[in-house]
Amino acid sequence: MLIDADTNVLVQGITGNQGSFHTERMLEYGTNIVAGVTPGKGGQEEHGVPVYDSVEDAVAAHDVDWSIGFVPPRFARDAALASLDQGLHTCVITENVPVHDAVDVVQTARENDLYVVGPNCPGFMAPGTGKLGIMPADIFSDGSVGVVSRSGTLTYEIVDQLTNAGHGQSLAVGIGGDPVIGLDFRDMLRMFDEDGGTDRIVLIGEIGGDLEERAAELISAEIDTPVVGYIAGRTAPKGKQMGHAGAIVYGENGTAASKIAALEDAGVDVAELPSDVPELL
Amino acid sequence: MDLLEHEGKQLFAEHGIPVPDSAVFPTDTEDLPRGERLAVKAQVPATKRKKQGGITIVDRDEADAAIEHMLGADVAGYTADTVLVEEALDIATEWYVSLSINRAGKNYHLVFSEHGGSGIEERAQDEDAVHILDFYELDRSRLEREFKHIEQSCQLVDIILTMHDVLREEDALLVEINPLVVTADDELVATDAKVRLDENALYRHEFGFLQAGPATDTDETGLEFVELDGNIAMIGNGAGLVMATLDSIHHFGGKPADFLDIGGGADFETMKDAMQVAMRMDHVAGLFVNIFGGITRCDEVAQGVIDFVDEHDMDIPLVVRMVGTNQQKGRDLLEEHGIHALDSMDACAEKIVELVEADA
Repeated sequence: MLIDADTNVLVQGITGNQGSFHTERMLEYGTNIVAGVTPGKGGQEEHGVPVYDSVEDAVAAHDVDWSIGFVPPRFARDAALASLDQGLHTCVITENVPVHDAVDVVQTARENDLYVVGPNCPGFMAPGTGKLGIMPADIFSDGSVGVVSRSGTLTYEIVDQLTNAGHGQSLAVGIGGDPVIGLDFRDMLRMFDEDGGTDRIVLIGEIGGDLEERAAELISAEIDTPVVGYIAGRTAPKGKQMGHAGAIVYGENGTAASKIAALEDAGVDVAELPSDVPELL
Repeated sequence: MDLLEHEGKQLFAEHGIPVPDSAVFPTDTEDLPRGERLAVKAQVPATKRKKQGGITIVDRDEADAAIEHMLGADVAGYTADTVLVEEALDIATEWYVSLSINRAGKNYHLVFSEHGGSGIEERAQDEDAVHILDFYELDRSRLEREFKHIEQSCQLVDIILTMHDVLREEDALLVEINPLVVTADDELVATDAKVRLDENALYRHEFGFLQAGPATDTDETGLEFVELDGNIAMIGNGAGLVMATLDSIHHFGGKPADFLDIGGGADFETMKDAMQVAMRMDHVAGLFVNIFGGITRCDEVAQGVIDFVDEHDMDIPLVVRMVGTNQQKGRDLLEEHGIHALDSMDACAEKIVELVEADA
């Protein structure tokens, strides 16, 4: 799912602070980063990875499957579109991407049958195989639990608990905290359900929007793999954005209570505390 | 960022959506708008203003007095610093139209109802005259087909297409007209305007608007902070983790005083700023710091805590949970200052609640 031993990756914004730092850590984990892009820095090298001026140049010289974007918000849309234009799937790490930009990126990916993960996400991690993003490697262990989450550090909190309890992970995907994102709960639930190496799913949601409710509908209709959930923001006040651009309750829309009720109706065990998740599995 | 009514109408007017003749008060230069009857409207971010005395319709000769009375008045807890005065129209029908982001569809959502006006939230449930259209690209012919049964469909389609321009060109997340009035002369006029702008796109616009309803309280240091009404302050790294921490405090019987996210990779200065922000709130009886360090380094966070504690009298309980990158280094630093960090988020949440209750 998403990444395997042969997946070739391109890092956009590779010479920037974040891009460089995380390129090194991804390489350490064994991810095949074959090229990087920073306009104007073509011909240089970053941690041994050749840098190009554009995605087009990089793809002309290398076989690439995925790109990952560590570019500032005002360039994130164009960077993602440049990757999609070259037939790459893309993961957008950047936070504070304008919503309409995200809509354009996601719709373009759809038209071209390509994956977008994010924006405002930590990426994804297939323990023992590779990671695309910023997730800290040492809390993960190889196993059969699929994890899909809107959060970053809350994901690590729960994955850490899972690993300590002996529940290794097949794949952990941070879908991002923004109102409009690429791969979402529904996509990952289907992917995990079809995957022979995943036998349980952990869904980590939060206030805002209705993706968890839509996920619950899908679980009732199609998903056979058991799902355990945790929803953050039970005590969040209405009308206030809780960090993530997508984490805001408008009136009665997007409350944690609504999500928990929908998931429970679909047969999902929803944990009271993050530490309760392993027992529920 | 929610715009005030007159700000939204300004955008509408710029793009060509019909709005009533109007003037904004206080003003040095503006005369009253035309009309024998005038609507005097408090510019506050409250809903249902009419019910709460925020909108009155008066005869022209009563307008000055009404404006004086409205300026500075309390409407639903807000002070009406600005008043919009408009020509009161001869209303035949009130419609509802809005354009917004469809999160699940990752596109846009058009809602139209021939039964608009106040109270729509309650009526929306049993509405059969509601048109909903989800789209990414919008064109005239599609709208014409959708609204061909409406007499004023030509004007309506023009207005919707223009609302779409406002949505995309101004980076709005919501453009709502309730009511879109059909006048006795069969003209369509937007007599209210609700526009929500994407704060992440403000960098590419030059708006001169006042912030009517900020969704985030990010201060200059880049911290994400929302003040709540409890007495247990908290600081964490990562919005989801912070939300979960608030829930945990609540679970163990405490009341969180804030949401405060230092983000990823924070340095000691950012952490020290966070300590300052948390500790300067009123009614703080305890502080819980919850750090799960991925790219965030525990020793940096610890340094920030220490720097703050060294300069201020921490006379309230402080509980620190610290795991992740450089955790030993971070904990050692804290230990030298008599702060004993723990492994477990649950244990810490429980402890801070106990300590605060014991002090009470």
